[in-house]
Amino acid sequence: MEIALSNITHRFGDLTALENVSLHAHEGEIVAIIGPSGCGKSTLLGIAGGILKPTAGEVVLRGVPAADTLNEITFIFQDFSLLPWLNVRDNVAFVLKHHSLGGAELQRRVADALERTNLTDFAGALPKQLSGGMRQRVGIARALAVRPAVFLMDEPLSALDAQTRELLLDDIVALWQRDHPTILYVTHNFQEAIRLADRVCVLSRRPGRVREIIDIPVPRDSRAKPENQAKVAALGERLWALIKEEAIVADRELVAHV
Amino acid sequence: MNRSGTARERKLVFRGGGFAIEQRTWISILAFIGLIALWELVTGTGLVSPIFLPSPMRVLRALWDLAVSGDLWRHMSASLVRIGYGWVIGTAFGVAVGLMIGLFTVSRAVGLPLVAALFPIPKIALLPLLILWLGIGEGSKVATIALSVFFPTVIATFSGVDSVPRNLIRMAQSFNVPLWRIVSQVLVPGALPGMLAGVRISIAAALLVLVAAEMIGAQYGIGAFLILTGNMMQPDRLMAGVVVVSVLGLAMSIIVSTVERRLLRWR
Repeated sequence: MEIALSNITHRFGDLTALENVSLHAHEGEIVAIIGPSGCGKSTLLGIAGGILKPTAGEVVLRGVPAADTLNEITFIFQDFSLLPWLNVRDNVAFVLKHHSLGGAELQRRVADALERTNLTDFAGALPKQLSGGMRQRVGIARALAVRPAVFLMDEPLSALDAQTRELLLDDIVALWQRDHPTILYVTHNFQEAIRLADRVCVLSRRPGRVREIIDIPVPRDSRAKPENQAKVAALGERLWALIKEEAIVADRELVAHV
Repeated sequence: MNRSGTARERKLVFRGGGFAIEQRTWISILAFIGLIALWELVTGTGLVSPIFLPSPMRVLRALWDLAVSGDLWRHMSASLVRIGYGWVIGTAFGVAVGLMIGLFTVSRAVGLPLVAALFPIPKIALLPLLILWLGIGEGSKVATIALSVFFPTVIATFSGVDSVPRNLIRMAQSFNVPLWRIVSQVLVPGALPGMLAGVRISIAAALLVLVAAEMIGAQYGIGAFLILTGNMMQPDRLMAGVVVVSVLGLAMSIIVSTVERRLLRWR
């Protein structure tokens, strides 16, 4: 499915978080949204997912989701947002129970999602017993269980340590490779963006505007290959230069606001 | 660094001690036994007149007699029925109103100032009014207890709801989970720790009002028994009654702790 955000403006009181942002992701495309802290990236994703109402602008969806899709647009959250009183299995089942699935179908979806995220052995564990990386895998399993057409990933790796981040990045690539869903991926880490995205949308500091959209014309699987490394590194540098500039000013502005 | 030329070697001094309270059950038991022994000593030697303070053995004896004669059970059952009805009614209404205040803007605007205004009234002060309305019988006592339970329950419930992280609600909404399921599966379990903390407070309030209400006008009940024995100058039976109230309070607290451990295992 295709998702298009057009002319999104968002204000909190007299603070403008986003100004006239337009952005789209084609069917099966991964678009990374990157920008300095406080530029409204997460706000933009909340708007894309219909849990925040923009001051102006609209979100349009095109295409028909698969027949087994229960929740077209599905989030994976930075803080995982697991229900701490439910075990892994029940956290996944929580988002299925209000759909009139048969018991067997519900069980099958839960089991399948846990298997895909290697959580089958931890189905009975409570979130507090899991590491950060495992918790996020529960978040991914929960999203997989509703078979979304569009994933909205809101800094899904930002709360994790560097090693875990690497592992989960591979998991996300694997997730995409299986069904080719459309993904909007918010991050402040340009390396994650380079690794995952077909296109990277760089937002400016507050108020967030689209500063530049950069294509990554190297197939995802071959970005680590030696012959592509120079090209990828150059793209990374260009991206970093763009973000660095914004980040430095944003950092100063944050101080000024306090 | 080494200006004098000789490297002076010295042991590092540990400075991280203290501030680590440990559990020492035997000290607690020892202190308790010591206190009883001291009590026995001052009363047994005649240092304190038994009219003011009967010895622990005499209190125990009075307790035994009360249990054997069935008086203890008669008074206790009357009290338990009152506090049981009062607590359940007060809690049911308190949770309902607390949820409304926690969930809806209008009910918060209406309810919060009312609760703030009525909460500080000592509920026992309303007993005469409630007797006027409901008569001298059980109704007025149960209603007073229910009121004393209602307000702390309302406050614990809505602040419990307020403390549920909003991101969990947004998560549920983003999966199109219907409102009633968000309330029952996200808000109520999330508010449970606060609500159970409220139960501790409401039980203490109920016990206080129970004893006070029974002192004012009841034939049976722990409070009535305490007034009776006081009037009849029976300090041993009076203190036996106090022990019963204390044990009752302790038992309720243990029940709440057990329920808490069961329900809040996820924390």
